[in-house]
Amino acid sequence: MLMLFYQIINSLGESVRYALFAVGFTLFFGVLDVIVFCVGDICVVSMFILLSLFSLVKVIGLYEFLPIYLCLIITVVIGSLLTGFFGIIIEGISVKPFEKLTTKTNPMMPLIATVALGIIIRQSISLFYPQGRYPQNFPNFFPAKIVKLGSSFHIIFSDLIVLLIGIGVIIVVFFLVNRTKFGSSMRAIAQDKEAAMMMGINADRISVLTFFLVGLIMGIAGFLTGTYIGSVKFDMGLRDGIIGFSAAVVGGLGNVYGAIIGGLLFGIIESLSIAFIPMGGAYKDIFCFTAVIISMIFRPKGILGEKTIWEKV
Amino acid sequence: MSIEKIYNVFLVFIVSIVFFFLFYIFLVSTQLFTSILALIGIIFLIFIFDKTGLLEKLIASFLKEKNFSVITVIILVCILPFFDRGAYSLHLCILIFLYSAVVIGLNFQMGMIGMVNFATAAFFGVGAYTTALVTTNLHIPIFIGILLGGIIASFFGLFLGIPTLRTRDYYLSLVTIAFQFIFITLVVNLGFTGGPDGVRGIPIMSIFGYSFSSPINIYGIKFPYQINFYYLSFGLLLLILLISNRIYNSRIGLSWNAIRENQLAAACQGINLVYAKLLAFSLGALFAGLVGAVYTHYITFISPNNFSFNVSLMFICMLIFGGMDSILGIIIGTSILVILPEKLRGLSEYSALIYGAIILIMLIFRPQGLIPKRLRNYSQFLKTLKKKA
Repeated sequence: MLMLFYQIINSLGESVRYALFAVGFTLFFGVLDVIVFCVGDICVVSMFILLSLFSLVKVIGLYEFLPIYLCLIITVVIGSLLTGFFGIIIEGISVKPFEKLTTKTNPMMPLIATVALGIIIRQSISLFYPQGRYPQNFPNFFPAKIVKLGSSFHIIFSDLIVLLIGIGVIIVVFFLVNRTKFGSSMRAIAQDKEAAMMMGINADRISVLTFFLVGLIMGIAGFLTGTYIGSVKFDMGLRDGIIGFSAAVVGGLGNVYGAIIGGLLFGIIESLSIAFIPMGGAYKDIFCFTAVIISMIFRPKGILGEKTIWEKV
Repeated sequence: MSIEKIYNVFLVFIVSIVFFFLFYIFLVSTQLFTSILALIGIIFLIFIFDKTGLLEKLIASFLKEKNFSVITVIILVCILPFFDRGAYSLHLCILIFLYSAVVIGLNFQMGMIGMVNFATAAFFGVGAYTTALVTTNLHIPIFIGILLGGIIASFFGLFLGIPTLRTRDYYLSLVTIAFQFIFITLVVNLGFTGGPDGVRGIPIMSIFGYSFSSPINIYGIKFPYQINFYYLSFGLLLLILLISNRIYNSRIGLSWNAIRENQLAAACQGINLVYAKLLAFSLGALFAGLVGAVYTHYITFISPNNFSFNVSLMFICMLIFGGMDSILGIIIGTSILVILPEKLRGLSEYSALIYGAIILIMLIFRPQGLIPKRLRNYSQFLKTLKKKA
């Protein structure tokens, strides 16, 4: 039983990562009614941006002037901002052209367009980044200490930091969505876009800003993923994106709390399947997807219920 | 023989000959310049016809003279190998026929109903692996292996459809992506499927003892063995075209199109959404599985790489490029997308990138595809109404 508990604690880093992806998907679906499949690929792009920034910083030698953690924070912030701008570009390419609903456009078109965009991003990275095809090493800037909590339980220091930063990002997103004017605008558009526009909310601007926000979240998620896993490969984004989408669906699409619970659930399922099922490592994805299918049979609206949109009759 | 009939017959004949000629040059020419020129000619002609409205008139002529146009096209395709007996061109044509058949199955799901399906390569792979394993390990006759492949693939289609059809369409796309990955993971990791090396030594197709791997010799003209598969896959494509046409003109096809236009209104008309979607899904999976099985017995060696997510995207790209819910568009789109990467051999690394870029560009600029779907013809019905009134 204690072993189970330790397994769960060890998997919390993974859960927080999945929760971040799920929050990204949920924000997109809730505010803009689109499924954006390339959220995982935005994360991979952010990791590659960070890699380039790290080598840039090494070339400049910035760490000789400033303490290393300040350097790190500045680099991650700049990387996240760049990823946010990348998010805005994605919005322009794959969501904006489909906003006007004419007879020619199918509501599935933004979905297919974002899947195609995901492929374009992945292949571009593998083709145009130097040595893009091979896994790249992601540097870990935290000291390699082991923190002991209790008598026989240790956790690696950098994993703990990843966990704490991830939880911090989620708390900041909560605060943004629930307590700020921007968050209220997002929730208003999620409920009824036309009524929100009548109240004076600029829907286009909020749409762009949502992509920027998710780009920022993915920027930080990229840093956390790189530190936690230690290496980057160009097609990591596909699997992470699918698990993030599954987590959002299981928790209830459109519901931010649901996304977090979904992420936690998937992290737990994954670590339990690796630990307790022989040869589980290769099959862990299958357990996650089976969980999605089961949840769809028994609770199709998700654990916490999805955002209700009334069918436009 | 009225003037109109002569005119229609003449038009059908000329247009078929011109397009086949251009297509033949595109396929066969070893000079990159001439083949690209032929391709540009085809696309240019299609656009001009579309803009001036000639395309609909042409298609109307073809439909009026149904028997003649079908026979003309069949004869032209059958005599194509007599002009170029190279094994490579025949191989490309076989791929065009097989992939068109799969995309017609995909069209049931995406074009006619409007459900996005990312697992086409997985259904293709289920059919392929079933027949491969069953014929190499259990020595079951090939014909039964192919049928078994199709049936098991369609069963997976049902199995995927049932939990998701009561929820929104987004969930179905998620489950199809998940199924695609589950399929690849299982095939790579389970022992009996041969792992990442795949299955080899699959018996080549043979019916009643006639092995398809023997070259044919007609009056001294020698054909390589692919010619057998050429006619086989053309026959398969004709069968699937026939089925697809009958479905399109039946109540089932009409209900699928109604669901695509407006699900709520279709349900109010009494269409059982779940049955209709399940039928579309499993029928598309059946076609993909059957074609996958035939493909296996042609290639005789398969590996998980042939059935990856990128391959699913290739099928979706062929559908979107050719035109959703237009059979002619599908065949032309598939031909272009099979031959073009072969002509541009130097860009083979970029192929996945190009497929993704084509999907994106087509969706933004021309979502109806190369040849748009045609409106249904209700004039017969209106005529009977007028007679009664």
